[in-house]
Amino acid sequence: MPPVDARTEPIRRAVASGEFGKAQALWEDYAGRLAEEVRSGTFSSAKLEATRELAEWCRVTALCARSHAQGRLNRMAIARQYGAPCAASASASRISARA
Amino acid sequence: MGTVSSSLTSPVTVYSGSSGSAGSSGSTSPTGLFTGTSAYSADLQAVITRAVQIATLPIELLQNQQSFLTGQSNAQTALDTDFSALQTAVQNIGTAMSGGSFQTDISDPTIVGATLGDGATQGVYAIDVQDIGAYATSMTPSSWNATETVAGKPDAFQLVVGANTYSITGTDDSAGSVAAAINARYGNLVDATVVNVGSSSAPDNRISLQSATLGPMTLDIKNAAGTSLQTQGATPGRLASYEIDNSGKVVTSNSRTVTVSDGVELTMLASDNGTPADVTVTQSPSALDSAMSTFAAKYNQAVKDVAAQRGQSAGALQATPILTELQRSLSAISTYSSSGAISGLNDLGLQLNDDGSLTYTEGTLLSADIGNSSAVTAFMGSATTGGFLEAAANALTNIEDPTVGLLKNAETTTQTQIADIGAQIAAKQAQVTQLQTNLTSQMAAADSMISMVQQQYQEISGMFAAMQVEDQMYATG
Repeated sequence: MPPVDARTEPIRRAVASGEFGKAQALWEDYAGRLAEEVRSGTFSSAKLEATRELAEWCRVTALCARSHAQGRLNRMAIARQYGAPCAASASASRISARA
Repeated sequence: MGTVSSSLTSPVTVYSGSSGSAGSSGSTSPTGLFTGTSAYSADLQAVITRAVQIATLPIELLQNQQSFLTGQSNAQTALDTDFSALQTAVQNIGTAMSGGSFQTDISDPTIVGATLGDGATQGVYAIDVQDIGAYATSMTPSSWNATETVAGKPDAFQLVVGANTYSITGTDDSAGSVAAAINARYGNLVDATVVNVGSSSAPDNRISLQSATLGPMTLDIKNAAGTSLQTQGATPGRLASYEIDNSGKVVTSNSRTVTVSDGVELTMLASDNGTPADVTVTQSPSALDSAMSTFAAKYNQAVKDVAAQRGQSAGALQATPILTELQRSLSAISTYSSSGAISGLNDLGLQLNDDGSLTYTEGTLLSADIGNSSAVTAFMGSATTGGFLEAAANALTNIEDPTVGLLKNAETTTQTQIADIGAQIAAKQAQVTQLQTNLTSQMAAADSMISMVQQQYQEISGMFAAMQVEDQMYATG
């Protein structure tokens, strides 16, 4: 397991939780700071390797999450064909966003 | 229902007598007369008609019974429709009371979703989703390459979920087969999937395991030798954490769906960055009013149709015991009372009129519910937990139950009786037809014989007359 980095940990937590929108925003912020370090000459090869590892981890984790989600969707579709009971009564509630 | 041949309800068939061939059965005469050649053919027809009319009397009696029972059956079916509709109306009140008439308004639907069920009450729930948590994961560190120890015989693997170990065997040792075996047997604990982390031209298939619950958890697959085949996720699983109504108490959960109140389930969708999401649960007045109005209408229809079976110009069910039972059930529903703050239907806007009907005043129930929700809930109860809804449901089940319901049983009994009488009528009809055939045959033979005798008499009479003429001519020379 890579060492905990206070700047990348929120990204890892968001990706691990499946909050990909939030992770993307964090990535953009992180990438901006990395670009600033490059421009200021403080960016190191070790930092580049850590960033590469983080990007690869995010890619694989996202792939896994998508695969798990696809599997669940497939099973739901199959279960519906056999009339399996729904997990929750969606018709019991109506959700509307507050203006 | 049995049917009766139209030939029995029409005038008795009249046959034409034979014109001399004894034993023939004759044919139908369009004139309605027994047109035999003898002078007695009309008498013979009268004998047939009379005999058939007498034989038909029991059939007419059975037809009357059948007609009466058919009327009863139709009336029972109409009442069955009424009480079935009333039963549905009672169920719909229960649905409206138990969450069907509630709706939610969420300040930020990207943070939380809501599902309402039995016991939901109006209110505002503020949820601060501090962390939606994460599922524990593990993945094969490199391409899955397990091969069968003995060709054609899949190996047994060990699935490790937390402190527990389970044996799994796929149809073969491939990643897909092992993942399918895990999902089939232990899908409630862990979700397995095969992920290609390579490219389509250079696939790199691995098994990814994901815990079914949030929080840290060891997930592993071991081969027969006990060697671990998975690498635990770089970021361990975490419990979800949230705070309700700024209570200052942070709660953790191994599920993103949490029950914050009876009948109110919230599903955390994302962390809220410190701004709680408000979930406002309100009751839809239209749904509840609609359910109550429909109940009153269906109740009144049942009352009206039961009343139509009694008194002057009453229906076919007049004086039958089932009418009393139906009336009693309706009264039990409309006069249901409770010792609570809500004592009767009148408090909820359903006023019982002198003619036994109900009148619903819209908005009364909703007002009562807002003013004293617990009292309304206690009075109404549910179909299984007491209160008005259970009493009404039981009363209507006694009537409408498919096997033991009063109306259902009555309908079945009446239908059986109608069918029995139909069979009796058919048997009697066959007997009358046979009698008619026999009599016609006999009468045709009799007519033929009489015709022959008449003819012989006329010949002899003619011969005699000729002889007399000849004698006279001889005597007068």
